[in-house]
Amino acid sequence: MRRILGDICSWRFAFLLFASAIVIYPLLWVVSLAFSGQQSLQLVVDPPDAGFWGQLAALVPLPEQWSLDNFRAVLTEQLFMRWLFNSLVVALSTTIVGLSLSCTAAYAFSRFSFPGRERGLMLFLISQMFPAVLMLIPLYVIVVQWLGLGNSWLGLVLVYSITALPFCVWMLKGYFDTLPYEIEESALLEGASRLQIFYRIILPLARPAIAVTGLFSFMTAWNEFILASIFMDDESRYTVPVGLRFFVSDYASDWGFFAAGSVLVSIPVILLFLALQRFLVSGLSAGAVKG
Amino acid sequence: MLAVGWAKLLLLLLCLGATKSFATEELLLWHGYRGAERQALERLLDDYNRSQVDVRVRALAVPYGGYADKLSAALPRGQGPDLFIFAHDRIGGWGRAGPTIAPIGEVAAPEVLQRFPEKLLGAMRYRGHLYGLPFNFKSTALIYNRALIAQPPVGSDEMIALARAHTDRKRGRFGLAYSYTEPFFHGALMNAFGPGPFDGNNRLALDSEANIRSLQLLADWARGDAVLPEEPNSTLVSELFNQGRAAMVISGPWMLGEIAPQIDYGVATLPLISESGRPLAPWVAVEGLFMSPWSRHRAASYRVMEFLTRRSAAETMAISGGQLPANLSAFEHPQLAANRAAVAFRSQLDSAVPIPNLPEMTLLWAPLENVLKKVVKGAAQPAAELQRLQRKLERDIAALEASRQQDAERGPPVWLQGAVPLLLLAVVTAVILRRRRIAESWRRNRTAYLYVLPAMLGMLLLVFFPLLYGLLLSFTDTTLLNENSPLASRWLGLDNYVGILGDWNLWYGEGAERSINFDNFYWTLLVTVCWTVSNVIISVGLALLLALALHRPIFGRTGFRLLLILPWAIPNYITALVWKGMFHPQFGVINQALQIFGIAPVAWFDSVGASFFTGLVTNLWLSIPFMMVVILGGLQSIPRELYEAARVEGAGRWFQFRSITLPLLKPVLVPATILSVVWTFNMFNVIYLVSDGAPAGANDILITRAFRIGFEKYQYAYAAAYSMVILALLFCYALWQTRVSRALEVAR
Repeated sequence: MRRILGDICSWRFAFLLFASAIVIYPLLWVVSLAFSGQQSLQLVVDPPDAGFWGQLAALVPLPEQWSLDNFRAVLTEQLFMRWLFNSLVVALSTTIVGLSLSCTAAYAFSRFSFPGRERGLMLFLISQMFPAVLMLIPLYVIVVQWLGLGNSWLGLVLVYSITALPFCVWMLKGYFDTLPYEIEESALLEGASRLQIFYRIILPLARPAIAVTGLFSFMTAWNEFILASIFMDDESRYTVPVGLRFFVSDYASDWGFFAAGSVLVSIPVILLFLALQRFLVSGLSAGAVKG
Repeated sequence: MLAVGWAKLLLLLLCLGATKSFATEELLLWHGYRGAERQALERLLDDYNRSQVDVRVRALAVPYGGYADKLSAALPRGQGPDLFIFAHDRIGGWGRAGPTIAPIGEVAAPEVLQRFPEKLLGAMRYRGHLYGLPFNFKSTALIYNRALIAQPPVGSDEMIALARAHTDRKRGRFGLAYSYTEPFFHGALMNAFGPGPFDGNNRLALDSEANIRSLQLLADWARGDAVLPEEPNSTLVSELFNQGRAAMVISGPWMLGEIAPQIDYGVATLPLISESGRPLAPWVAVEGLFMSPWSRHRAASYRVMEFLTRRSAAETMAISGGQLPANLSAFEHPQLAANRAAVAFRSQLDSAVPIPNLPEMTLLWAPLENVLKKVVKGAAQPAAELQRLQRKLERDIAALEASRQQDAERGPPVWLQGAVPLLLLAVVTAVILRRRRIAESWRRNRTAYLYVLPAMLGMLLLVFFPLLYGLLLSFTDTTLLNENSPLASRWLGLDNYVGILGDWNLWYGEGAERSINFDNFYWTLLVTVCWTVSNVIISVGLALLLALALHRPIFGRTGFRLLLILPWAIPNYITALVWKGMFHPQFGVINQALQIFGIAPVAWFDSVGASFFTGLVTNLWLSIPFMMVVILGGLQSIPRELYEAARVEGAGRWFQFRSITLPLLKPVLVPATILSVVWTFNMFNVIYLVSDGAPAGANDILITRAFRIGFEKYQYAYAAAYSMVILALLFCYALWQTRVSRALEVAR
């Protein structure tokens, strides 16, 4: 109890509280809008006769009445669940493909010295430097016209995992570099093969970095809109960001539906983060050197 | 075992996704409808399918934001639908660019064409060819709150007088609200004074007397009479109207579905300009039914077009879809004749003017919007600003036309044609000569190469090929008008790069009028560098602080950690727009909060610095959570024993941070920082969605500028060259950074 009190009174706690407030406020708009059952929230116009606190309280966005209508509409009037499922398949496949490609590559970049190593790393970086907007047409030509993967998830998974690759490779390589080499050396002496070392020792030790890069690959696929809308020619194959954009146009936009959809879309991400976060907190490598 | 099972399931799912269904006589129709209008269309198509034996129409709804891109990716390459529904204003560009859209003049029967008024049919014609059948039309009209306005105004003076009576800016009430800075809406004023942006010969005449007067009138309404809200957009307008804060709005039929049930509204035609007695003449967008030139079922496609424009179909679209059908006979239906809103929009069509479908028109939207924003804020005089825009657009149009007129004989210089085989030959010889060493190196490093190979192959295919394409494109003069002609005929050489890097027009105007030319490459580069540096430094710094605060146990740690990553989890399209709303000068909560604390509100999008700040805050908010997660992961690799040892030695917190945390975090922090620089440099979304380069493009970064050149001016090659310059800059940075930080230390 005293420890909790001590925590609450610390600067660290105050800082976290402040940061959380800043993070939450814009989200509160989204959530209130989602639960308002309407397409827009009451505009903030400060009540001139209210006191200081009254005026301040008027800035907190709250729906006039809570309602699940927006969620109901989003889930029933559209193929939303279907799109959510598609997105899950695409994003999870992207994560698996991306991680398996990048873990192996990053391991080689970290542990072997070979001609072309630095140039190879640089090549991965270059790929992030060319603006994605202008890759649209060439990607369409390759994936749809050459590979014939238009309207298929395979095409999307391929593009997404390659897009996420440079970050994953660089991140994992950086992390592998921090892992002590002594463990591998002794394993090598005991006759383990490189592959065994990679699977049995390196991957388990690198779990925090794999969690981060996995989350990143997932998010790359999860929120991508333009490629998915261009590649897919069948409504039942759309991913959820494409479906969400149905609510927005230049003329009139259903922001309430969009907000409700956004809240739904973020739930799997939060669950994934909850599942992965134990890799980000417990000091796994502590004591690894001794072992 | 479980993993294998998963992999199999996944493979199965992917294979399922890859299979295609083949139907012999299936017509594909793309449209951008949603809600009631979509249901109406689908019902019509169901009816049609039932009436046919051998033909089936399959409809695909495409979200608005991706529709134009999807069409322009698919159609010129022989992919895509047989039929599509789209607004008519792109016809000119498509018609001139080549195989995007098929003329239907030969198949269309005269009795079918008689269904439509000449005005709407004319919108479907470009250079004498008929490209489609008009389906629905959309124009603006006056929508008013009957509780506040008893009788809609007949003249503009009367409208403004009424509006003034209902304006109370302090309480957030306005007599009139509409998206007056959007050229689509301002068209009503331009067309009322004269022929609009183009003269009788389709030549650009933005600086005509009539257009200047239209801008002057708008400036009077916004500044003199002050009856209009600031920074309008369609969402704000409908919010104001729904809350009874706007007595009259100018909007289109699309708004009717959004009006709250408690508001009793009426629709009337726009008033007459009191000065001249001529009616305000809004632009009308005509949604047409178009046919792909690649369709193998042209006759069948035409029959669908004919079916959808019949009177019965038009009635369905109007009654259950809420659309205004181009087949005007539908308005004779008793249910529509009794619908006062539909009748008002129908009679607005008499004075409305179809948006010019010239390719030049598509260049106009974005820069004209900037001019409108400047003028209503009093930052520019209508005449001078329109003259400047006229000169600028004349240059842009000339660039497009020049690309078109290149003779087909031209090709890449001879040395280049010879260079490609020579280069290939050199590579092959080099490989043959060094085959021993290559084989040796392969044998020695086989494991390493095998580990890297799959990733490299993927990158080569999906990243470096597009990059090569961009590089080739940047040496041509490809624009909207010649993009489908052979590459050799578009060859230009280094001109685009000379144009970009040699652009030393840092200023425009003379003497006291002199100001920075915000379109200039070097200004944009400066903004981009400031943008990147400030973003990366602050986000890495704050993320580090947050990660450190969360690393050690504290009360509510899991909760904080979850809260702090939320900005990453919610689609940033909506959160960026929420931030934009928060910065709204009149209704944004930030200015409201400032006022509560007794600070004057800030016009966030009017000055370079403030506008920069809006983007910065939003981007930080969006990017810190990710950075924090990365650092949290990196902190895990630091052995605790080191801290314990340091504490035993009596080292302070700061010392521990400097000598343990930072150095051991470096392998993770350096790549994360490099990548974050690259991403921030190319951060398109935040700039585009929040400040949109306001004021007048001064806050554009290189990538948004490249986008504008490519997709607002349609100079694709110039945009590609811009992108190559971005690439080169970032590459130099990465070389420098890796050298400094030795991120590529030799492997063990």
